[in-house]
Amino acid sequence: MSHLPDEVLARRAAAGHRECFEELLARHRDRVYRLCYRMAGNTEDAEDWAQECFVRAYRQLGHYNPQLPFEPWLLRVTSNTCLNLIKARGRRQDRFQLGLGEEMGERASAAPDPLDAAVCAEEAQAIRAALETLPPTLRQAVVLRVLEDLSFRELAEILGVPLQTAATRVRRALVQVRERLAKSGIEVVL
Amino acid sequence: MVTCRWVQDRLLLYLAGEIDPRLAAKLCRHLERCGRCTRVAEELAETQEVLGNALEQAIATPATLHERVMDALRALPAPAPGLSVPTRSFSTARWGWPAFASAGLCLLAAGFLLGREQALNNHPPATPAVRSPAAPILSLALLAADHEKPLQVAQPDQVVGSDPWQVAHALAPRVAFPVTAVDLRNADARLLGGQAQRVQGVPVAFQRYDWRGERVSLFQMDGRKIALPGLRETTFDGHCFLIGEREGLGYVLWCKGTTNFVLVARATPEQLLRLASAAGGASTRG
Repeated sequence: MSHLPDEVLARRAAAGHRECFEELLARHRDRVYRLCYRMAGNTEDAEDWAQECFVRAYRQLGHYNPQLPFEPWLLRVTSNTCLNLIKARGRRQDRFQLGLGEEMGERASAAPDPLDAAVCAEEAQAIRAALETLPPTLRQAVVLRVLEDLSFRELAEILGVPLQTAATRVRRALVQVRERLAKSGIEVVL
Repeated sequence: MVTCRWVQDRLLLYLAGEIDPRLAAKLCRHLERCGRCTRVAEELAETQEVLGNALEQAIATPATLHERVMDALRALPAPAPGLSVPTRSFSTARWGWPAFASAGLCLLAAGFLLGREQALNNHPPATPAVRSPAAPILSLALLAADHEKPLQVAQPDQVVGSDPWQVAHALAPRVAFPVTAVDLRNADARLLGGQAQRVQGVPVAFQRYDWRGERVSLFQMDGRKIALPGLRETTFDGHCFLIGEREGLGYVLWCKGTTNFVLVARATPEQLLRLASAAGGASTRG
């Protein structure tokens, strides 16, 4: 089974071979979890959200077209599920994190120089704040593009929008992040 | 008319190399003379990279996630089958094989469905594809062209011989992957020789057999470098195959480990399945 392509496994899983879905789970759980972590902002929610994404994908296998690649379809289910969970959580609390606090804190504390650590922490806070102000659809687009290193074609396929629309969403997100960082006094330089 | 707004809308696609070359040329000409759009392009690239650097972090997937998902799935009913596997019709048997051969194939398929759990557990099947997402799809037309060529004497990278292990051993260094020695004498197919060649730039080991007076070609290639096309799946003798037919040639494809195998002959795929099964079952590494 380890040699079967995703598309064949998905088709068999849809026909009732649960072990085929388990193989898909093993192959894709890291990527799905990583995306859920970035969207949820903490490890507890990320694991719950990742479980929900896989269960939803399993339920929707009957709608998956095996003539098309499986991974973009799974990422689409994942990002849309996360968006829905963000909205549901947003109704309970008016903000969401982008999973930056935990590891950015680690990175800051790992900086050898106390001044560097302070700068890192400040930049991390500013970047997180800038991303949090983005509308969910722009956040979704820039997270997928930047974190998952997707091409714009892959991004457009996952979002279900034309190529230009995907690029426009990322551009607007980047412009807004840059403007927000400038207001925070953070200069964006490489 | 190329405006700054039009250019800035397309800058990210241009920077990513995902834009039509004609549009790219227009953007390039505009950027050469517009400092403002050039600055916007630089800022977009910088911001994208800063975000990427800031968000880049190894994230460990919890070990509990896998079991949590499977527990959740076990509590669900199995999804209703909603997908149909596209099938292809085949021409009538060229050699007039009895109709019960087709019925026998249906019975085999039914038997597979009933005993699929056992088959999957007890017989590691030769599977239809080993695929890297970036690998090109194998062109059957190119294989057909090679199949139709006679095995000429004294051609470069050619090995003449009837010993499958000797031929496989001689071909292996020429294609830089382990060539499987395929002995089909029990299936009335006699090896004539082999040749190393390239198909779509990928090294292929090609072996020619005489099967009851009919020419049969067996191609072997590294499945990580070239993917099998999406043909009709079938099962024969507990093994999974992809089968197809075009312009009078039958094709049977399968993979074992990282090697893709393709059997080609002027016969129907059903007629070739017995030979393919013998090839898959009898093969050992050369």
